[in-house]
Amino acid sequence: MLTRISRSSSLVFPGFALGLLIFCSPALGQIRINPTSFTGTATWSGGDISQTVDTCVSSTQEPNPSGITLINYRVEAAAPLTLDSGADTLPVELVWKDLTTGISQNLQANTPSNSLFTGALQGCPTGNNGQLQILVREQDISAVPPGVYSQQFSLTLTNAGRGRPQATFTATLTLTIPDSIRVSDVNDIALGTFDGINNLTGSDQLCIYRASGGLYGVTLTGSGSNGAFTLSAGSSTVPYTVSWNDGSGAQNASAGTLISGLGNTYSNDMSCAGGAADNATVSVTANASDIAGNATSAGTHSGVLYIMIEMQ
Amino acid sequence: MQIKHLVPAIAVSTLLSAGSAFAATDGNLNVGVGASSQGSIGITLNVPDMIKLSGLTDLTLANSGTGDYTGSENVCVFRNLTGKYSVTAQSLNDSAGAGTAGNFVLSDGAGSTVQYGVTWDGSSLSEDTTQTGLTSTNTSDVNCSTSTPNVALAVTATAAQVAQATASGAHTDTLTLTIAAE
Repeated sequence: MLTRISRSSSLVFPGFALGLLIFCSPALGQIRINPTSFTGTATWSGGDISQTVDTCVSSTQEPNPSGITLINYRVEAAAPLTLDSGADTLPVELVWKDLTTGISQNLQANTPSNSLFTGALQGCPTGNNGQLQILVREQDISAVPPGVYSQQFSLTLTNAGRGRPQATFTATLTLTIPDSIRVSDVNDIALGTFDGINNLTGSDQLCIYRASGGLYGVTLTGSGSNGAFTLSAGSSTVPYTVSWNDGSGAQNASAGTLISGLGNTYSNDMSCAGGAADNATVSVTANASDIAGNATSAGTHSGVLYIMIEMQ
Repeated sequence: MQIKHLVPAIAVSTLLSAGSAFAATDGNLNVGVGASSQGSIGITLNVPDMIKLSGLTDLTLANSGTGDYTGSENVCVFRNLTGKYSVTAQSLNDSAGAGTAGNFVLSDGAGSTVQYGVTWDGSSLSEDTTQTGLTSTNTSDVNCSTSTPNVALAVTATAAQVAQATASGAHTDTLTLTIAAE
C-alpha cells in the first residue's frame, strides 16, 4: 500500500522532480587566492634568477547536495612576459605549479593554461597549494645591457564553475643587472717537438665577454719564478714569449704587466656563440735559440699561462 | 790528394711524448664595477735529445813543408742538453769494411794506396773505432750559424805514408764521420 502511494506521488507531482533538477544544476563557483600580489627584487651575480611565491588558491563550486566541491582552475598571464629597461627587454618565464599534485606548466602570454591545478580548499589558509615561479635565464641576462629591468605581471585564475569566477594575482620583479666580464673558450697550447732549428709557436682564440661591451685589460702571468713565462721539466727551464691580440693587432706581453685599453668585447652572450665569435687571440712562442740554449734535459717541458682580464 | 765527400751525420733521439699534465680552464663570470675573470692555459713543449754534425767540406791535402800532407777544418758539433757524445770515423777504402777496425786509406783506384791519420779536436781517431765520452762546447747553435765551428778535424798523410804510393796522381777517400748522443 505504501508502495503504491509512493508511485502515485511520483506521477502526480512532476513539478517536484523538476525542482530537483534545478537544484542539481551547477552552483556558483568561487575562486580565491591569498596573497594576491608579490614584489621581488634581485641583483644578478651570475646564473639563472628564480623567484617563487607560494599562494593559497581556493577553487570551489558550492553549494550542492554533496557539499562543497573542489574544481580545477587554470591560470593565464597577461603579456608581456618580459622585464624591461627602456627599449631593452629580457624574456621571463612564468611557471605555475600545483603544490598538491606537483603538476606545473609554463605560462604563455595571453593564453590560458590547462585546467590542471587543484584548488585544495583544505589547504587554505593553513597551507599553500599554488606556486608562481618567475625565472630569468642566465643566457638571456647575459645578452642584454646592464641596467635595472622590471615588470608587473598580471595573472588571472579561473575555474569552470558557474559564473566563471576569477581571481587575480600580480607579481612585480625588479632585476638589477650589473656589468659583468668573463674569459672563456680557453684551451691548452701544445707547441710540439723542437726540431733544433725553428721557433715553435702556438695560439688560442678566446672569448672575452663584457655585458656593457666596454674596454678591458689583460694581465698575463706565467708559472715560472715570479710569474715568468717559462716551461719546465724538472730543473730544465725554457723561456717563451706571449702576445695578445684583441683584433686590432698583437701586443707583446710582459709577465704580470697589465695591457690596457683593449676592445672588441662580445656582449651578445657570454660564450661568444659557442666560440664562433671568439674575439681575442693569445700566442706563445718558444724561440729556437732559447730552447737550444736553455733546455738541460730532454722531455716535455710544461707551464701554465694565467689570463686575468678586468673591466676598464 | 783529396778526401771527398765527408758525410755529416745527424742523430736525433726518439721524440718524446707530447702529453700534457694541464687542462685549460675558463674564467668565472664576475659582476660589478672593476670585476675580473681569470682563465689558464697549459702549455707544453717537447725537447728531444739532439745532436748534429755540420760544416763539413772536402779537404785537399797539401804539403806542409815537412813532407807531410795535411788538411784541416773546423766543423760544427751541436749537442743540446749536457750529454756526452761519441765519434766514429770510417774510411771507404778500408779493406776491412764497415764495422771492422782497419786503416784510413787513400787510393788512386788502380792499386796505389796511401794510409793517413785523423785527429778529432786534437785526439787521434782509429778507423771504425768509436771514441766515447766527448763533450760539445756548443749546446745552443745547431749549425754554428752564430758561433765558430767548435771541433778541429785534421787529416794527415805523413811523408812516410805518402812514400807508400806506387803511382802518381790523385788519391782519394771518403771519410764518414758519425757522432752519436750518449
